[in-house]
Amino acid sequence: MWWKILLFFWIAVLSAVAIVTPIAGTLGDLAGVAQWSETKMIPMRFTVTDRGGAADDGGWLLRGADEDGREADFHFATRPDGLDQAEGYLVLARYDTEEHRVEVAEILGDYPAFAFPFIPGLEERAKIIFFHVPMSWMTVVAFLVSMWFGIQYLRKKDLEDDFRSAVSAGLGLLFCILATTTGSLWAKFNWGSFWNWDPRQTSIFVLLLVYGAYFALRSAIEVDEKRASLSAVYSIIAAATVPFFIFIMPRIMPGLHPGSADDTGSGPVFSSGMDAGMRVVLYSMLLGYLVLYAWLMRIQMRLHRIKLKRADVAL
Amino acid sequence: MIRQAIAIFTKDLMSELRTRYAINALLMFVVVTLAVIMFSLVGESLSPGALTGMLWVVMFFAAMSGLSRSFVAEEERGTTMTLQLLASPMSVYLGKLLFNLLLVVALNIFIVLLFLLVMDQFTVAQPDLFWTVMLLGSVGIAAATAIIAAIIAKANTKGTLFPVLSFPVLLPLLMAGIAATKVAVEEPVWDNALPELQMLASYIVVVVTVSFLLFDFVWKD
Amino acid sequence: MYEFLEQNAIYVVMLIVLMIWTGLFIYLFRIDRQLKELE
Repeated sequence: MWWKILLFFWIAVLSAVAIVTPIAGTLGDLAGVAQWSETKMIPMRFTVTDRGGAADDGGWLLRGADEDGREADFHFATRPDGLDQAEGYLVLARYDTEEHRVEVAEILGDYPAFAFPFIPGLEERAKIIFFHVPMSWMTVVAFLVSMWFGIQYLRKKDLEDDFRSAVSAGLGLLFCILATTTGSLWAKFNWGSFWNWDPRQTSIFVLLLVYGAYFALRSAIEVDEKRASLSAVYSIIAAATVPFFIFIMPRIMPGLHPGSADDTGSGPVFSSGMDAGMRVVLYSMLLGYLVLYAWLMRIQMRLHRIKLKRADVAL
Repeated sequence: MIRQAIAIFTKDLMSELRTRYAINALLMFVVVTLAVIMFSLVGESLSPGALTGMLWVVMFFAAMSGLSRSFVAEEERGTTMTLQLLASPMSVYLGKLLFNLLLVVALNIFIVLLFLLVMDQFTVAQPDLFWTVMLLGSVGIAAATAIIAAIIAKANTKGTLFPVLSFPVLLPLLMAGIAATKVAVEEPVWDNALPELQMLASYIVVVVTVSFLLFDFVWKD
Repeated sequence: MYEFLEQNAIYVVMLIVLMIWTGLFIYLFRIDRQLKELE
């Protein structure tokens, strides 16, 4: 019982943390943004190193350092609130390349101890990684588990393995649908259209088709043993071709996801902009969904055993 | 085993040549599809790249309409049991694979020749690369459809299930094939298609190996 | 609506979270219905 409550809090708290944690850039990010836009404001955090004084135009000029230790002048329209006690601020700002100082538009809050890095072009939308990526990983995990139990069935001819395989495929289908819909909604806002035929989108689409074909095949065979062995064989064949999509295609073809052939600065799956904090949240989230998957599997298996028992009694 | 496989291959070939069931249906299918495409393209000018896609669509659906015959026919004639008793599963698979291979290669050569003949806008920059891709693509289609035909022969709704099951498995082949054909049609450099050719070759190796390992389970009830 | 979401990207993320939870809820709902049939 206790671990189910823990699981609920685990996922709920992590989701809340992922949404609430602010995005905060550095002076480097500000300079980068200033290169292509003079008016674009981004959130950034800095600590006050010198409380400064009134500026010529009636505003306030102080000195601060960002998390990398780089220093700059920060210009405020009026004297910032609580300056005497403040150690630092989270502000909405831009870099003024003519005055060589940071122009602060708004104070968002105190210096946040925990923040996600600013990733150009993604900003707040970078947070999708905590929700969408676990879904697509779970799709693959469920698929592999389904194949694993398919192999087990072929070896031991135990119908329970076949049922495990089918349940895992069902869960995989659920995760696959969620990954596809969440991804395409996000793509509309980040890349401008719901579907772009990026290699990774293609691969998740193929997984969707494989799951669809798997269930179509299962529903077309009536004899239990036959259905079990044929669907196991099909899932293995499909699994043999899936690596072409997940690992090879995205490397050969140019794409929009991190890790594509034309994306130089990043690892296999993640954007280079991810820092340790983001990784911890992502992996914890993944763990949460993995346990959720195992739990749902177990519920389905218990249900199945009760059904079998009922069928025996009825006979 | 090889001799058994060849025996099964010749048996299928003889029965096919006698009835011409698959050949006639496939030829009609190809002619009709090409006619539809030509009707819709009267007066239009399409790039060779776009026509490449159409060529592969015709090849894919032609394969889908005829290649399940080899196993489904055994099931329909009720000869599966006899074959199970007389021949080893390996030789059955090999024989059927060879037959499918012959059928696909012949069919695709026919499609491509017809396509080159009737589509004036379809010109090939590198004929050698083009035919290599066509050959590899045909082998891949034959390999993947052989095992899936064996699976659907045991199911209830054979006709509709075949393309549904085949498409996700064939898609890597189709994508690599289309990309490589585009290179052959549009660019004069052979090396540009190298990653795709490698992918086609490894696809064939993977699918044939997996099919060999799994055919036992499909064939024996 | 579209412009609002474009301006406030965090709501896109929230919408995505909502979609995931709806999906999981529907799955649970279906298990529940199967159980009811058994009962």
